[in-house]
Amino acid sequence: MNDMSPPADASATAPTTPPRVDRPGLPLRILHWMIDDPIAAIALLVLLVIFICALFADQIAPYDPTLQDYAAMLNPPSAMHLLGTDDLGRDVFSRLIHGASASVYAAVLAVTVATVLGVPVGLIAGYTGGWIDQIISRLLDTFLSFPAIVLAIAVTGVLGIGLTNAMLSVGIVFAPQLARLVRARALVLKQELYVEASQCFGASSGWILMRHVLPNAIQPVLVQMTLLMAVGLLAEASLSFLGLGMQPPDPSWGSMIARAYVYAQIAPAQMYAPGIAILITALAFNTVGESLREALDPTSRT
Amino acid sequence: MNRTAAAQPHEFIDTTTPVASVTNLSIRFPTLDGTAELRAVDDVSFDIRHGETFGIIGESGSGKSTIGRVLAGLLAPSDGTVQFDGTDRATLSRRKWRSFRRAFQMIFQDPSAALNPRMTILDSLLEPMRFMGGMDSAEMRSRALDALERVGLRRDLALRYPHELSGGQKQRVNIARILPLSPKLVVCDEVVAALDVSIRGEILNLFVELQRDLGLAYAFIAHDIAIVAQISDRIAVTYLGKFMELGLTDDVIDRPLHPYTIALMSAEPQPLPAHLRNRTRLRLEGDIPSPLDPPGGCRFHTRCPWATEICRTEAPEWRELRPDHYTACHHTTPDGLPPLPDRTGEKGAA
Repeated sequence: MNDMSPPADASATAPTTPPRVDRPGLPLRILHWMIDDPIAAIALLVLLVIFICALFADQIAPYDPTLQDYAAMLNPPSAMHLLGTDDLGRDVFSRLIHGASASVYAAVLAVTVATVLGVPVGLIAGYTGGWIDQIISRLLDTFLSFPAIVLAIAVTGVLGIGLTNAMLSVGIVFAPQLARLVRARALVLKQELYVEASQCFGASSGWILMRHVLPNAIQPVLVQMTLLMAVGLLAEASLSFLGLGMQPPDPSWGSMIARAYVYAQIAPAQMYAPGIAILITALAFNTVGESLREALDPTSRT
Repeated sequence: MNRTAAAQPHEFIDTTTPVASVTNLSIRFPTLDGTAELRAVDDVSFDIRHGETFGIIGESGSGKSTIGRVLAGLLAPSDGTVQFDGTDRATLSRRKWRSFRRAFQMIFQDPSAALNPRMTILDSLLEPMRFMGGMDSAEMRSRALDALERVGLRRDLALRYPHELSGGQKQRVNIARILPLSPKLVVCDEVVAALDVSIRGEILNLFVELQRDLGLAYAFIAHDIAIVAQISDRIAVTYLGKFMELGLTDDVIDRPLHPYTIALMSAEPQPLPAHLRNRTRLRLEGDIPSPLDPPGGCRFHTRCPWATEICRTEAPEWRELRPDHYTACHHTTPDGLPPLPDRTGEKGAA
């Protein structure tokens, strides 16, 4: 910025220097970002580890997560069982690793469904306005007026029990939140002067939506998406806890907590492992989302 | 900066049809509760000729920006017609209109808001060309960089983002963007109002230069009469959605026919040319009335020292009092307004 401050318009008088063609390459930019924002980098690393656990659960887990050992029920952590065993003598560490894949799959599925449904609906409602907006908004209000988990249970009831169906329904329940957010942004953005300028150039509505409205509306959406990832993890836990999600004996973090809850009086430590896993993952999603928001905003770049 | 240079239409341009022809234009906005209407523009007619600078001045709320938005095709008339280069928008299909309207561009008051903050300057420059077709990306890029140089900016600014540029630079980018479109009419809505005083002159000069080279017409909208007078061939004075006076710049400045024009020039804080000093100064009292409920008769009668009974009851006719010089006032004559009667002396006229 310094080279052009004092006479505010100074560069106007100094033409032709050959244009700098490229911005720094992607690896270098990622490195810069990690140095700038180490907490986000750690959070990203955590997410990466969780994703790797999810992908390679079979290789990482020391035991079969469904293998029962009645000789070692509700054991405390030991060298043999890093996080102890549960009420059926299954290795908690192995179940945690395998549960990661269910939980991450669940959260990603829910948020993807919510984004795919919510963002276009919100864009169209906000940008078009008029009676289309009226109808869409009333529908969204109707959806939002139900308690989310009740609605998810109802939708799961229609779609059928199972993790995928449960998370599809959670995605449908989340969608109005994203739609509302995007609608509100689109309402403001369609009045921006750069949109009017684009209209003067002869831009179509599709172009304006994709090039001007969406990129400027996406920032709060990304943050909301990462928040919803965290809520999605918890929703998976709730639905699995209620028996609508992951079906036994396959593990997910939610069903593990549900199981531990029954034995909370005898072995309260059973809840720690899946509980902390959910907490850390949710936190990591939030942190990465916040950093992403800043990184995407060119005005915050130096 | 001198207006005779800008006054000559470009030699290659057809001057028989006006570049924009506005007939009985009215623009009404419903209020939020839907119970009333705001008459932003009320029954205004004028032509803008090819290659001329048509100045529109008025206070905020006078409807001048609304007229500008109509001229840029951003707003459709509530009543009346607008012909763009002899063509009515209603006769064009949506697709045809999208390519047709490229000849009618607008530069906005806020140079930052007119640029998408997430697009590099280069992307902003390329945007208009993407809708033109018939150019590959290398050609578009080279034309974009040429345009940047044409408005006096370094080529390497192309990869910056808008927030890294000064206000004056951003306004230059906004100008550069429309150059590849070869516009016939550019609506300049308070284009220098948001800029530092030191930069205003440079930007105005750039507008004059571009007009000389490209033969484009301007609708130059501002509240500052000195700036409008400096650049315009003709001036229209707006008040509460109506034209008060319209004529050649020199004629309007030197021999104003309408009391409101006199009041506007009296309010001018900057030193005026010698021949404007020591003449009737008129200080207006009160605020501009609400356009939701404009006064009957002549719109200006609530603040006009010349106002009499007829002004309250009857709207004055739009008359050509001198060649090419129109006004709407009951009391004025081709030689100007009569001296103020004494009874209005206490209203602030001297």
